[in-house]
Amino acid sequence: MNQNIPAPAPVVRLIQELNRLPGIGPKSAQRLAYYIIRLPSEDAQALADAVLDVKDRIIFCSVCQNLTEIDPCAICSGPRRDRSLICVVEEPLDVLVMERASFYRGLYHVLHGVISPMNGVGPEDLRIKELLPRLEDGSVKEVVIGVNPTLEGDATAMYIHRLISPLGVKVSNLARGLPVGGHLEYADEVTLSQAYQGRREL
Amino acid sequence: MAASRLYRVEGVVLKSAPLGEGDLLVTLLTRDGSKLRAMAWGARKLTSRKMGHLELLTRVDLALSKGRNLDTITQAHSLEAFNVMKSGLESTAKAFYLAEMVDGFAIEDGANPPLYSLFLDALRAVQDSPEDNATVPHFQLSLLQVTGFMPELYRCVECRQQILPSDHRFSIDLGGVLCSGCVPTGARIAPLSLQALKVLRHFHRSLEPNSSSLQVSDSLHQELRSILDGATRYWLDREVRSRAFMDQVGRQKSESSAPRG
Repeated sequence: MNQNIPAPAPVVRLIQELNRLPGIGPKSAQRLAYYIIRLPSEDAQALADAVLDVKDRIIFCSVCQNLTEIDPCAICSGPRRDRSLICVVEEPLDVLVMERASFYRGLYHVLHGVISPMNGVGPEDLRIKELLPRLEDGSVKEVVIGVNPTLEGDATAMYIHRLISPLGVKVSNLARGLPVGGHLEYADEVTLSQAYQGRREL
Repeated sequence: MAASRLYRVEGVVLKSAPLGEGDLLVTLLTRDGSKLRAMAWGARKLTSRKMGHLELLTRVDLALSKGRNLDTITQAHSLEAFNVMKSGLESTAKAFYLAEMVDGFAIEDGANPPLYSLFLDALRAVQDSPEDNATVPHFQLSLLQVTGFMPELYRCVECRQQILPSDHRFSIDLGGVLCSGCVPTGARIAPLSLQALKVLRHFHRSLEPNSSSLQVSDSLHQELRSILDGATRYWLDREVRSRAFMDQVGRQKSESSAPRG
């Protein structure tokens, strides 16, 4: 008689919880669960503590909406930042990427997504309205839209531009074109035409 | 000899979802009118040769390899980029709306070639004539027609008598027009103006959402919208989520163009 023996209840629960994480399917969840079971107790405790700690201590910066431990965050309260510039990005990870490149000294504003109507994400689901009070005192001279160059990113950029253009703040977009290390042969027509339009004198 | 695992297909990218480190799960409406989901490994990486070609609403020529669950996109070459963004945010919102409806009505392995040409015509109309307010309702009715959900517009859905002018109402539940003599119980019935009926019949006779064919008044547009959105919602059994954004963008535009007092 073929009788399936169920996994113990705590294991099933762990698999179910891991399965809820993005990009983790049932098989990956099982693998991770059995890896955690084999971990020494202190390692498992450290993992559980890290998860709880991040939930307890990480908050959104009330100014830029980035993830932070202190409010306002280190960038917003940094004395050497250029307060006339705000770069609008999709995700907190984009701030890290920009900071790693270390050419930008302005402030940020994190939207936590882009407008994606087909997935039911509208402007009200993003942190767009939190950007407007930052522009009211006239100290910000330029808003640089640094969202991903996709159709949804462009729609978000256009929406923000419409919203803040009556305030008289300059709105710019990161340049579009060929990536460093890319091949002209494989460029699509939109990228090529944007690269051509944005050409520069050598 | 074993059949080749490689094949080529033309389609329009309906939606894509990020997956893993730099991959994309792409949903397309293919040339034969069926829906196809395929993996594009590494397509989100900056130096990917597929990046840009798999952008939303791009007509693309693909080379694919059959997989156990999902096929893999091995090459992509864009044939036509619908640059709706250039025509403004309203056009982009309309294009999202069209794509979501197509995604809802198209089925995997269900060939329906007229659906593909209808979608391309509608995208071109949205791109070339962004101000045309008949494109979306025209597309909605044509979509219902090519997918087999066309509402009855000529005979009463209850008694099958020819509908006479000024003697008509509409029922989404019953799937079409009703004469004034029929009072079916339990069905939602809405008034239907003669003008709206004429426009719906005009849409029915000309399948392509021709950009310059018709400009409808705001009140008529509202009436058509109520009927066609209702029918779309009824058959999809859910709201079309992009509608809210399309309305929001329309409101934003009318507020910004209204004289300030």
